[in-house]
Amino acid sequence: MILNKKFVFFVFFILPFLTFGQDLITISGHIKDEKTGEALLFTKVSIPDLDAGAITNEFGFFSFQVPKGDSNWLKVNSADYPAYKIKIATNRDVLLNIEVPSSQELEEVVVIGRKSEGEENVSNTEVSTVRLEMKQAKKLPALGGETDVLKIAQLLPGINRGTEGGTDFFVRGGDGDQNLILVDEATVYNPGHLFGFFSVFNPDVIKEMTIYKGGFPANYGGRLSSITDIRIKEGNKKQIEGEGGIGMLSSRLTLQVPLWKDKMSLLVSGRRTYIDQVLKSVGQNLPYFFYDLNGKFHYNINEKNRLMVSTYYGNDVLKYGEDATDSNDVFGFGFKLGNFTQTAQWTHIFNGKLFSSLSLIHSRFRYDIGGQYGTNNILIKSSIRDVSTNYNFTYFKDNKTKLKFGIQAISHGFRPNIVSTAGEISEFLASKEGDLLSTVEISPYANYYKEINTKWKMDGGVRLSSGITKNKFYGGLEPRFNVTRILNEKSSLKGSASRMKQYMHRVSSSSISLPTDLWYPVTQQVKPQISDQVAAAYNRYFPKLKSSLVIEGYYKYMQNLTEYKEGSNLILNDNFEDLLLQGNGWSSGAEFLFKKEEGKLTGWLGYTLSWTKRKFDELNNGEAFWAKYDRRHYFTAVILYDFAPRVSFSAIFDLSTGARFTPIIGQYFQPNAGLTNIEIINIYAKRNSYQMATSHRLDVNFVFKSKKDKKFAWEWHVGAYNLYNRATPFGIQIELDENGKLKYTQPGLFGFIPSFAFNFKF
Amino acid sequence: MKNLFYFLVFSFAMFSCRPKPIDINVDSAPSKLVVFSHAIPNNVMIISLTKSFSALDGLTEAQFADLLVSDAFVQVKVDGIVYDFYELTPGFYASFTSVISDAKEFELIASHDGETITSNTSTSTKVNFKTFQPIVEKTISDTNVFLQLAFDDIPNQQNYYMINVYRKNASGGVDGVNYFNNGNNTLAETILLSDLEFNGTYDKTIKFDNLYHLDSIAVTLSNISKEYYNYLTIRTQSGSLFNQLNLEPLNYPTNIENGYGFFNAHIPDVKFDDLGQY
Repeated sequence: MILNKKFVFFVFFILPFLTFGQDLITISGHIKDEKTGEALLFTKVSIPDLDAGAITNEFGFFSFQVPKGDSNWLKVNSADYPAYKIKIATNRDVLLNIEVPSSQELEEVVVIGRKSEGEENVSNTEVSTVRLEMKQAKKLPALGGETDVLKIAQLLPGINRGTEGGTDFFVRGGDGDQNLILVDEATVYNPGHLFGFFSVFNPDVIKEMTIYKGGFPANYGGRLSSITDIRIKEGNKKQIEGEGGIGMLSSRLTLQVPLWKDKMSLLVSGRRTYIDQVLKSVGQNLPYFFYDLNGKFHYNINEKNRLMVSTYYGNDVLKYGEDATDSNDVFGFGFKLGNFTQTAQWTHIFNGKLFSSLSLIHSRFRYDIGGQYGTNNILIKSSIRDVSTNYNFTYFKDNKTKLKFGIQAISHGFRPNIVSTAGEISEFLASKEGDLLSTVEISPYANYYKEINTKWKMDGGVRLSSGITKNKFYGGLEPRFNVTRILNEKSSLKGSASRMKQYMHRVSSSSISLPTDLWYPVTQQVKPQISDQVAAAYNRYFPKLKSSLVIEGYYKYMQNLTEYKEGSNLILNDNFEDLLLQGNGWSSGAEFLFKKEEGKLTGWLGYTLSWTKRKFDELNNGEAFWAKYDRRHYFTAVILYDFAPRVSFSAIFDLSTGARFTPIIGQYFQPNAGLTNIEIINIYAKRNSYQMATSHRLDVNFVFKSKKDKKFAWEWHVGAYNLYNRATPFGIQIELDENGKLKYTQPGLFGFIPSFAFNFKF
Repeated sequence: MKNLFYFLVFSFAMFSCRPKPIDINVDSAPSKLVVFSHAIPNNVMIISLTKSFSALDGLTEAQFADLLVSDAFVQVKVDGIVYDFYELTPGFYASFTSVISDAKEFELIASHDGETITSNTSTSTKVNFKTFQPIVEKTISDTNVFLQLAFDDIPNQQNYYMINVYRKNASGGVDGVNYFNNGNNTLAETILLSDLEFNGTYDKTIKFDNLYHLDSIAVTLSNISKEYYNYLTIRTQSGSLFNQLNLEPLNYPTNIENGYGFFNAHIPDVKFDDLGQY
């Protein structure tokens, strides 16, 4: 029986890769921008005469095969570039390095995705996947003029926002901690500045952003609900390039320097806010600021080897009453929290058919919170540190078959709640060293892509994930499968099924999530979270309208979700295992996305209809309840219109059913345990049984650009957030009405806020 | 560049405005009877009956008085014998006879304005202090107060205990009759124990930071039911304002059918002392 299994495995999985066509040659290589040397990702490369081609991968590499001949025209199609073709010899295997001239005129073409994305989506196997392009994203209205890629992502169907301004988002009924955000493969644990109002991602350095809501490729794992893969620009290898902006809340500058022409580049970028100065000007004292630093070194060692080192360092800093040290009656408080990531990556081309990337990654998130009053001092520290490696291979067997395989290993070190106290406060809160909690995740995977015939394509894989913690081993298979049935040139049906596992979770209060919320690993008692998701999609491309429509339906079942016991207090509580409950959840919905991709008017309309429930034996009397961010309807409209070559307008409108909450609906008196005092006891409604008001908001933005071909190009952005000043509820409060009676109200955070920003490029 | 910066700041300050909050209609929970019971010396049981109210009721003194339930019918059945409870003052009902004794089953029935509540509880065997010894430790810079407390656990059953420490710093000592009354004495600390936390005999010397070396003190020890222990544990964990702001939504457990609160019966052992004599 074992022999039989081995034989089947050999015949179906190994043999196909050992049988090479005798009269085919392999065309492979990299596609790059002629002006910058920057690799072009997900770009179509083809030889139309031979009906053969491929899409570049996340490193700009492609590979396909054609019959041996003399020479043929090779064509490159990309959104931001004019169609480009080059004659190449096809009499032997070739490894190309193609530089495509860019076009200044084509900036207006699409909002998200590439010019041909809608058309491509009809025929590829990607399901529930969206790519965001920065050039278009930067034209959209933004709070304070700060382009925020995570906010823009929340305008897409299936991605619900949390509270106003926050960067926490909720994908297809998942929780806020079920979203993995990778920057050059390094995990970013806290994607927000200023308690989540701004994302940590400097828009000037982002090259590509891909969001997977389902249909996950097997090389991704570790979270249940979404993967956001952000790639940073390599850096200009041709000439010095600068880019920056001065906004109302922050300024930024990015420099790209060729250290060795066509070979080596360095990108350095910094951003710093001056919120403290802005508030000071209106009489408010908030000694708070944040900053980001990005760096990337890229080296084309030779045509087969490339080396990249990327880093991100950012912090939020608050220093209040800094000089209180010597005073006995001055209060001081401060915090510092931030991410620090590094990625070293080596890509290697073994031959035209086998491509590899090896990455060593370090990621750390930590926060320090300190306070003092007179001689009393307290300092609380927490951190999470990952050291990981990814080794990925892609084997391009032929134009219809591709195998991606590899292994990923992560060592997590969690050190929560290190407390250091001095003075009288130490009698109540003793100093302690937080225990170091460790887990290791090891996940080999394989993904097999096959074009079965002209109508059917499949992309299936499996990930063997494991989470190893003290005295406990968790593991299991995570199967992934996508299939596409092409109906005709303009439409297709797609389906996907995927299982995801998550070996860590974030401890957040049900009322609000904060950057200081702690991450904890699985333990003997706390099991990994698991999700099983199926999705079906209909893709349609309308050539005359240059538009596309995607309709998707999904169902997701989640096991071992985490919540906390009723009445739990999570502040400085290390005893989280005793407070934690695990239960199940399920979510279903339909998503509609209509995109207009070309012309003077571009943009998209998105709509999500969804239901999300949770069931925990120890919550809500064991009855199922709605998840907090169960929003029944979510509609978004994003419009970009080019009035003139130098003037464009954009607007965002979103309308969403309110988030759910558990209000206090009554009270009563009870004596304390010693019967010396009377206390007011709250009566809560059933968990998440109430919904906040439906929210809607309109943001607008105008962009005025300098003349083309200027060495110093500039843009003025003038816009407004929340144009008609409508509250987007983030909580409820009790206040007096005009008759002096108490009533419940829902306050909003941001009203009408004008924005001005000046961006430049040289 | 500096001018540009100030222009941006000025614009931000001039035009930003806060949106008007949106009203929301939240239905109030229907008003229900709320129970609490306790023993006073001579093992007389007192039951308090109040009504729950809307969170939107900004309670005036008159409205507060309305919450105290008058003219209610209150009965407690103890091992098959029915005791009528009589109204002492609005909201407070007593039996006039010793109702509470060891290891009894109690069944409460109370009704008012067509509303009826029921509940069951039982008393556990009374446990007395084996050792009760205040210790006052005087140093050059400070004076610390300790209490040595010891008692024997009742074997072969799961027990839960509550120790309350009261203090009174005014002259005249602790009010030994109304030691629980608000304004007379102050609760210094409540200690809740499960006998899983010690083996056979509880014997500990505990430092009390909130006792002053000249205080008069009263310390009670009660053997309480598991349900009441759970109820009090949740109450003490979530009682402070800081905790209430942070904790997860919680409806406190209750053993009252159709109402709120907690019906319990326990017999405390009480010790009094004057720390000034040590």
